[in-house]
Amino acid sequence: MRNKSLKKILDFLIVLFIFITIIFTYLDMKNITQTLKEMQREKIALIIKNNLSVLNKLLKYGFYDELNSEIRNIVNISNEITGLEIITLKKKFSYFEKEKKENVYIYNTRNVTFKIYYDSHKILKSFFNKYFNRFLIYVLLFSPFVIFIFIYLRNKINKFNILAAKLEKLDFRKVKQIKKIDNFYEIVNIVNAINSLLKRADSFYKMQIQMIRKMIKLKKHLESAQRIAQSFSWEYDCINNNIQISNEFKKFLNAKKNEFTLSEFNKFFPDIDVSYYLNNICKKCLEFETIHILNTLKNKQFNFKTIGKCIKTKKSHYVLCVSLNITESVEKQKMIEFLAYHDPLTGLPNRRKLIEKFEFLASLAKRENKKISLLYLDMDNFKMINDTLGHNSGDEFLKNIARRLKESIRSTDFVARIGGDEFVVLLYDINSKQEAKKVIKKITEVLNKSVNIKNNNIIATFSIGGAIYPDDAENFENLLKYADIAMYEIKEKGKNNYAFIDENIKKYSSDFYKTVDELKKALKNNELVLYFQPKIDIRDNKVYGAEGLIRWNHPERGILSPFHFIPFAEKSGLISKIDEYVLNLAFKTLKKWQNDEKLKHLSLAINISANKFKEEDFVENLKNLLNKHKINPSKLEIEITETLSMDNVEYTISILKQLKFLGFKIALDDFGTGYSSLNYLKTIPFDTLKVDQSFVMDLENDRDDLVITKMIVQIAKVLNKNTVAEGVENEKILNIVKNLGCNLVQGYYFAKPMNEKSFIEFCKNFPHK
Amino acid sequence: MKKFLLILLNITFLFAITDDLLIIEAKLYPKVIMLENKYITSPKMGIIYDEKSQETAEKLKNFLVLNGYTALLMKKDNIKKADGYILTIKNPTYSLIRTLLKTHKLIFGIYPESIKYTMISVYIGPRIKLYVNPKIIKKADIYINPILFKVGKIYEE
Repeated sequence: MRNKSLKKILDFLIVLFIFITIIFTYLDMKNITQTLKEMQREKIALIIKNNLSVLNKLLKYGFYDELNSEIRNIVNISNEITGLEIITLKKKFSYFEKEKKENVYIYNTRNVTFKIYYDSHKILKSFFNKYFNRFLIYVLLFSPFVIFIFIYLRNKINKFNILAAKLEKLDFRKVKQIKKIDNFYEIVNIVNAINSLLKRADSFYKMQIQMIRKMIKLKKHLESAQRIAQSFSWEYDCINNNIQISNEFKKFLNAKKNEFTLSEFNKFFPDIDVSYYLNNICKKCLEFETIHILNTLKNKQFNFKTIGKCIKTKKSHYVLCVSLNITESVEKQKMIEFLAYHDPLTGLPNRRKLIEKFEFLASLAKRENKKISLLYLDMDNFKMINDTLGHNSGDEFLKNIARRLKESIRSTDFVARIGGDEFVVLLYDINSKQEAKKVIKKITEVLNKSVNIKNNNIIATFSIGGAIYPDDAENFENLLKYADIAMYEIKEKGKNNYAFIDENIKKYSSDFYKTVDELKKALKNNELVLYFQPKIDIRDNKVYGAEGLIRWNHPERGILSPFHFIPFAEKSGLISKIDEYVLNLAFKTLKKWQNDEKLKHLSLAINISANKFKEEDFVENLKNLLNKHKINPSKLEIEITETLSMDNVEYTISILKQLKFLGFKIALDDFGTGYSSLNYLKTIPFDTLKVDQSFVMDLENDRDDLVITKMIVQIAKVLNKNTVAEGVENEKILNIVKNLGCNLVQGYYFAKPMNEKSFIEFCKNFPHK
Repeated sequence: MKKFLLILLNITFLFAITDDLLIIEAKLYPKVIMLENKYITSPKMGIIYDEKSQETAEKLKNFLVLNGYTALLMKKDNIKKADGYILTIKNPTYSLIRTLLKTHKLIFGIYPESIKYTMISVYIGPRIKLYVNPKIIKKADIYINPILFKVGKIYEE
């Protein structure tokens, strides 16, 4: 670019111009000289011709003096002619200004020869004098102009060099607009164009920088993501048989290079032959996915999943692979599998594992004609340990128990934890209960040793129920159920003992499960009905209301009293649903009664179980029922037992207050059988005290009962509550309770519990005539 | 028409001397003398006459004087010294001519045909020119300016 600079071209042009000018001037001078010489000769010829007639006449008439004079005159007049010679046949006339005879022009006439001598330099000198004078004038006039133009152009061209230098120094990171370097229109135009270009280049550069930054950020993200995800890329060249790995992979492998041969790379894969694998992939050009183990150079072992794809083009043939570290997920998977079959706290197998193990041992026992004892161990009073020492201590204790339990059994036996404090032991090849009992004794001996938890010596006792496969049951569920039932039997009998299932327990169990199933169906089929036992106000001998008592209209066994099913319902947890069912029936019944003028004064009392009473949404449910049926709440009396009310007095008082707020009446049932605190009794918001029938029924014979009943009635009176005497079966008892001050009675003396229709009839006909 | 008038004028000059011709000659002849001799600034012209040409001679004299020159009327037998002589006599004698030649001065004739015995006369053609007789000049042995040979017409017998 510098070689072809405009400046140099301009310099060259100037030199060329001068050279050409000199050449042309030289040639021109040469031509001019030649022309001048010819012109001079012509001029001389013309002078001679002009004077020829005179000269001839002077010769002819012999005027030789005049001739000489004329010759001198001609020579003198002419600047160019330096001498003239006229030669005739007889004479010769001549005149010379100078001695030197440079050029001769000869002119011949018939008898005369004219030789004209002339000085060619003179005319040339004269011409060139004039020429150079004028040239000098021109040079003097035009040279400054030419020099000015030359300098001006050179200067302008130099601006381009300045511009180029500025552009050369331009830093694209800090693009600055080029300042105006000249006012020359073209240069200003170019500078403006360059500035416009720079502006666009700058914005393009910034955009590129942003993009590059984004790309770098994305690349870093990707690398970080790969590092975090432990995902590494590598490539196998099928042609050169070498492997190129990423930097991250290199770091992970603790390798010192990125390129490996197949045999080198194979060392990282202890469980697969990579060279064979990759060669096959290359040959068939396949995609693949494999899970394998990867060894680093520090001999650490990881689980990896590698996905690869063979890529074949005209120029290359390679396998692109991504290896993902799945060690953590494999370990988690193992952990999940472990947790799926084990208890995380104690590490003992769980119920699922227990079932699988039982199935295995059962099939083995069946084949070998052997038996299995299943022991169901439930720790006694574990809740107390948790409550007093805290759950962490409870967990520690459980772990200790699990360890000792495991240590106390044989290697062929199996122990599992299936609940909080419930363990199951499978004793293989224990063929009788006697043999099993020996093992149980050994286990309990180990377990009954005290354990020190947080400076507390704790001794664990267990209630153990057992069942024998296949004598008691052939499937796991039943075997476990029998062991559980046997264990519950022990619990009910005072704990810290063991028992095996027997026929009685089996029957009870059978009845229990059958009844619970039927109860569930009964609730669905509305087989449960309310019976009503009238409550008589003995002050005015009118029906005050009734106590709603549940009956089961069993499709096969007829009407069943609560004693047949309520214990099962309580044990199975169905009691709460039965309560809900009864409440619904009570609301419906009261609604019906309130629409009947003759019945609307009647109140209805229903019993609520402790379970239902303790439910969180008990009050809310009652509120919903009240909103739904729109009954007078004061006609519904909710009976809770004295025992329930004293179980958690604070809670009971808060619930009862809410019930009272809604308008319901409260009765304390079976009063006298529990341990009521008179202090609490004062604060419990109840309306009625029901004297338990166990006191009332023997009033006529038992003086103690009489005193107790009298005191209860007196307490009710003091607290300004109603009293109801239950179990009034004859007139004597009626009179006694009447005399004691009871205002309400119920019992067989007036009526047994009856269905709604009979009750309504009873009410309409009472008192009997 | 112009040519005709010119021819007619020539014929007139040829056969009779006119004042116009005299005026021309009065202007022309002194200048030829001055041409020959640079030192003469106002030549003295001798007018030679006889009885017949006295009147013409006087006219010529007047014309010369009018042009600022000095003119002397001289009878043919009383030749005086002058810078040049103008013959008004139509047919001069040989002796007169010989006398004049001895003066070595220029001898002019007023008539064109007088060139036969004078050095310079007037030639009337398409243009009026000096009429030069080299033989007479040669006889008088005087130097004449070669320019006369250039501008004048040479008389040749």
